Amino acid sequence: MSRQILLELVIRTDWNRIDSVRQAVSHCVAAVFGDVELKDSLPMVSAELLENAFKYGLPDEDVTLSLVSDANEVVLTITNAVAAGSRHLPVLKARLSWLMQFGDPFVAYTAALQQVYDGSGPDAPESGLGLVRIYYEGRCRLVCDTSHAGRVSISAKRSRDAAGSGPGS
Amino acid sequence: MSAFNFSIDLPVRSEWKNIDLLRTSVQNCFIAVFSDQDGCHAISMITGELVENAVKYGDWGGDQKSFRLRVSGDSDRATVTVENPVNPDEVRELTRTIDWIEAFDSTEDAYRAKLLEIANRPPGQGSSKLGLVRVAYEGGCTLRAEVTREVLRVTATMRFEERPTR
Repeated sequence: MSRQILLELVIRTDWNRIDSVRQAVSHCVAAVFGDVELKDSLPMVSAELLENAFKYGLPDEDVTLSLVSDANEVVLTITNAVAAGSRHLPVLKARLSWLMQFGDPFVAYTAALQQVYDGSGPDAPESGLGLVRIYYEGRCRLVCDTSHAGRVSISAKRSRDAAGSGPGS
Repeated sequence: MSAFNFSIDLPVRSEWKNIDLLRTSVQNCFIAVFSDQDGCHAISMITGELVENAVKYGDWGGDQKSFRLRVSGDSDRATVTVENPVNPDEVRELTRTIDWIEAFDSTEDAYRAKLLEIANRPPGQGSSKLGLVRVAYEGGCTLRAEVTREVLRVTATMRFEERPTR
């Protein structure tokens, strides 16, 4: 199976649209993969990443969502514009590198919850729990791309054989 | 990203339950991108009709068990394309229906004629082919069908200003 773009959407920064995106991803994934666990997790991933894009991106710029699949993985990417010198970008990178140092998503999840409890998140006034949910509940690796000036892309990459290994399974 | 504001390209197993999943997915894509409630119903109706035809009339006797749905669009128009394996009899029937629609002065005339035809038809006389007429009239679509190596590709192009108002 070659790499295939399943969905590409250009979305205005409008909180009311997040639920439609969640529904679109959920039903698309159900029709293509017939995978109950994937159809629950990827909509959550799309909503969490979109919320971050809306919160920290430039409000007058569109956000793009893409959903790509091949034989090995499904990748959901959100790209948004950021202001030059945005203070959110280093916080995001620090959060991701903190998160990805945990080999076990559950350990990352409990560590993040402990941080919230302690009020000691790394340089972040926000809890950053959305990204942790994506890593643990969504079973996705997170990759940040800032190679295009003024834009940031966050990709959530989920192995096709990760189904059934999530929490509660 | 292309000139389109949304693009969907899905290989889908030929199962009835997928028709509603696809309708809903396309509908929500459209709302997410355009926030257009009226347009979203039209495009999901078109998607549903074409996908239903693929499941109903596709040739699913061979190894091929899936069809392909492509939907793309911008603020002026949307295109829905469905590809499925087909046998020649179904192609002839489909082409006849599209030619029949195009023979009318307007898609509304075709729609009315089709409703009358169905009303006057004795019960149990096969499929009505009303779906394609709905796509043409209610969706304001032009329809095209082509066959390449036993794969039928039906394309409905909707220009948003051409949809009937109600």
